[in-house]
Amino acid sequence: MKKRKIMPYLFISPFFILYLIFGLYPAVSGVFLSFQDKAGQFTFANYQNVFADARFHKAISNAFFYMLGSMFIILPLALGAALMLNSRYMERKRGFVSTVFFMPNVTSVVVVGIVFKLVLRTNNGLLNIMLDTVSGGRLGPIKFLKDPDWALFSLLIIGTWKFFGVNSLYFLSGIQGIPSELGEAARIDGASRWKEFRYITLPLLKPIAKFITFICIVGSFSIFGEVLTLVGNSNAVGARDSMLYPMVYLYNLMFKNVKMNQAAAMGYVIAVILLLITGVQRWLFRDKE
Amino acid sequence: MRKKLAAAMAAAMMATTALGGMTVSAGEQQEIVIWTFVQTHADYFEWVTSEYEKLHPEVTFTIEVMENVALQDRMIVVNSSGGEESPDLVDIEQNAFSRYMTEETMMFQPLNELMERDGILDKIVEARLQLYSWNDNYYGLEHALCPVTMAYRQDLFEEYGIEVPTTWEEYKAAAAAFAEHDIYMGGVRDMSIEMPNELRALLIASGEDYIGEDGTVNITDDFKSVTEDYRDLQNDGMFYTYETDEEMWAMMAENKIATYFAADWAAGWLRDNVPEQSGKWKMAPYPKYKEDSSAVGVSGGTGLCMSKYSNADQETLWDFMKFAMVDKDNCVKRYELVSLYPPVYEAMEECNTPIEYYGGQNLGELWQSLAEEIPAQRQADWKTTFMETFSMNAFDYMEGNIDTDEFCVLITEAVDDFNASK
Amino acid sequence: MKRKERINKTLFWIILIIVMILVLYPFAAMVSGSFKTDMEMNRHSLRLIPREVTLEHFHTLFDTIPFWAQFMHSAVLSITAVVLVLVVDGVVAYGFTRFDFKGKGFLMSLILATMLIPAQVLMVPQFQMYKEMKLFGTYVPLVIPTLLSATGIYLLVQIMGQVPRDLYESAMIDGCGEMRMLFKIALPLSKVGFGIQGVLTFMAVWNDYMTPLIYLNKESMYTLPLGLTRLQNFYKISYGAALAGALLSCIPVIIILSIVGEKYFVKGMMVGAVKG
Repeated sequence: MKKRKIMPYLFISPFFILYLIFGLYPAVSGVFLSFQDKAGQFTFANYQNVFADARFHKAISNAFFYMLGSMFIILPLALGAALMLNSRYMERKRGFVSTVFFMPNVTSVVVVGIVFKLVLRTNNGLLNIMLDTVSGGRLGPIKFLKDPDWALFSLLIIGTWKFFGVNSLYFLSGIQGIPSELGEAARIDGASRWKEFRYITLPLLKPIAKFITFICIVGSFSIFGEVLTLVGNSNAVGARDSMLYPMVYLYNLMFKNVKMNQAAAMGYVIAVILLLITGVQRWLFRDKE
Repeated sequence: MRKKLAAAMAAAMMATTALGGMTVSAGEQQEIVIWTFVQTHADYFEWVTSEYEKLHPEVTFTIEVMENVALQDRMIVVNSSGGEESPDLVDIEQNAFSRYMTEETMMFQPLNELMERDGILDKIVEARLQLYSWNDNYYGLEHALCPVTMAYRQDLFEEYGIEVPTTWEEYKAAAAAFAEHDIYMGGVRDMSIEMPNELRALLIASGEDYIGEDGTVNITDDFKSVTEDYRDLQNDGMFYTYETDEEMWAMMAENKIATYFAADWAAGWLRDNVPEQSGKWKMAPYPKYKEDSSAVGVSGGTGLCMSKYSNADQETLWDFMKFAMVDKDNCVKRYELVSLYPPVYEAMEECNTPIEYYGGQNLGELWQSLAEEIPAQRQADWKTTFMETFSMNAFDYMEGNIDTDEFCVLITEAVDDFNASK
Repeated sequence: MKRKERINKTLFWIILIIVMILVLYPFAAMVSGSFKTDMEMNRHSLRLIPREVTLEHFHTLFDTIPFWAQFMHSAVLSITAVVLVLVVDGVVAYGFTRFDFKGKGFLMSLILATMLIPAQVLMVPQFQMYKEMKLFGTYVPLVIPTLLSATGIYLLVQIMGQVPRDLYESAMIDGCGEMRMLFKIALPLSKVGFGIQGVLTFMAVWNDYMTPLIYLNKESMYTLPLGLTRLQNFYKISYGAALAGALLSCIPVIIILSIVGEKYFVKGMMVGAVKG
């Protein structure tokens, strides 16, 4: 009986042991850094500066809107794609199609930067050419990458392209875990496809949806490479800071402006914000019994 | 496990306070590590280090090439860790220098005493050293003269009977004349994204750089009027403005661009990208904004700096720096290898050869004749903030949502905030 | 009924093919760009089928860097990371899904919380730590971050959680030990999760640039992304060289992906199938 009590802890111990050896020191040391001034004296000033910083507020609100965008655009699309992947029309092509869906995730950031600039730029950009053709020249070129009103949308295009595939595979893994008898039983009882989806598939997807939304939140606050490739090595992070995301700002503060301590403080503030948002998310996904 | 962690933590904390190590003295076997961010510089370093190794067998070199941004980030990590694993010599691109301009981050060795002792300041164009100066000290030796002059399509100017401009007023008039023939006067990066290099070059040549002589922000009426000119040239369609670099070459290939401001390191770009226009391009001095403006601008630059964390013998490092960056024959060889026109007076003469692409024009002679006029490119620790604020508001400025005065106020306020927060 | 079915199926495939074209466009642009001359790329950047096919960029690539050596370093490193990550994540996820124990919810939250601290904040302290541990200049700091990433654990917990408890119960009656159940029941039923996590880990290590740059000081140890930097020219922007490098470096990933995709993304095996 004693053995059964220790067993679970033995199984989960590898992560904690590794974290104690390699992860704890940097995390704790970072906290110290965030409470120090340049001379190494204790101070709250770094946190005060972060809280008072209007650009930081802007970065957080950008991430927040991106998060909403990805939840209400990317995730539904991914779910749709997962249902398609699971469809019986797919037959033996399922492996191939899911591989294709996964490919954007494999494409390097360099390529994403080069290609999406060609797609989104104002003059002779692929998307603008297509808009122009479709509208017969009535829709003027849209400044996707320059106009602050379009910045979020442009990033969501890239985000959708890059992440809908892997998310649809996550959903698929959830769908495939659903015992097939359940669906069959419902169909025999004469339930419509929609009802089957709404009352059988969707509730059973909850565990994986919980994971996906969590990753989606953390991911939205971690946007970095996509922005850097779009703005290049310039000082710009979009007009009116429209492409200033928390990690981009943190990075600039740390390496371009070399404010190590304030950057550390910002890092922990972001962590706390994420803790709150994911707390709400986990509460929404709690097991109601 | 806990013991090991405690030991690691304690040791790591000690490392942050401990500094430096054993210093190697001259004559002993030593290995020098050089970091650079571009393959062409590495090509030159590979050649020049092998020459140096022949003369000094006790010294060996390792050259590491990495992406420019990554190099700067790595330097900051090294500095924040008390100099662990620092390179001995490092190429610093001028744009990144401002991040080293604080007590905590200045990780280079001041070179003034060594330069004065060895009479380097008489040999090298001193204005070029401003880029790597902080608190009255020089920290780097420049690779290239970086003179910005005006390449122009001689055939187009002749065809439409337009005079080649020598002043900024003439330049604007020529732009209007070319516009009537659907030809752009120039191709520059879209100003609603960031300040085009050409704009800063014009400011510097007119003595109206936004970094003043005393290192404070310097927004003059001329600054405003030049900025407005650039805005209008772009908005009125006299400049072809691009978001991605290759857009402009496509436009140039269609004979739609009449002039191109280029530094020495960019002079070869025309040959690479529009080879079929060989013989049609010529190079002229920079159009003067005012009577007393320089007839040449400056843009870009890279300095070779000595890390203050290096354990190698300082005299050996300095000796190699002089060998690679000031020695006449090596500078000439560098120009042959990688087309960087030397900022070293005695080496210029031998680099002056007619260039076939420019219809046999001797670009070196032109650059040499302008070397004395080369204006200084100044540095300021607030430069990053300035550029950030410019970029952040440039779209609104170009769209007419804010006027020049409002634009300038936003920028100066941001710089003032930065200075107050120091 | 048959007719309707056929129309549905056709419609389904039309939509799917459009989606696949959109998804693959950037990839096609990469392939096309790496075979275009710089001149053609500059003038016709959007043209997908090059008029003049050139191998110039690949020649530059192989002439400039020891491609295959760096390729092997990256491959061995990435595969090692995948194996370690799947073992650790699999075992931990099994612990969380198989048992009920005191503090389970709290410990899971703790694991997730470690994900929330931005990696950049940890960069400098990590550097100092590895230096003190004498692990600087080794491959260890390149693998550890993937082992500390909680994503895989969380994913596998959610997927393994769907395995019905009674499967374990009946196996236990048959005298199965925990390790055996992990390999015979939990693992095969969570194949999709292992597949996705494996590929994601492989790519994270394969494409990582900054970590190897900071921790590897010998060019003889370089991984492929570090080598590919040599192709980028600060002075002269050549898309071709960058795209050719990206293409060559993503081919192995795609090969792995298509193998894993066939085996793991699809036959995520219905739970019922095992039961019977």
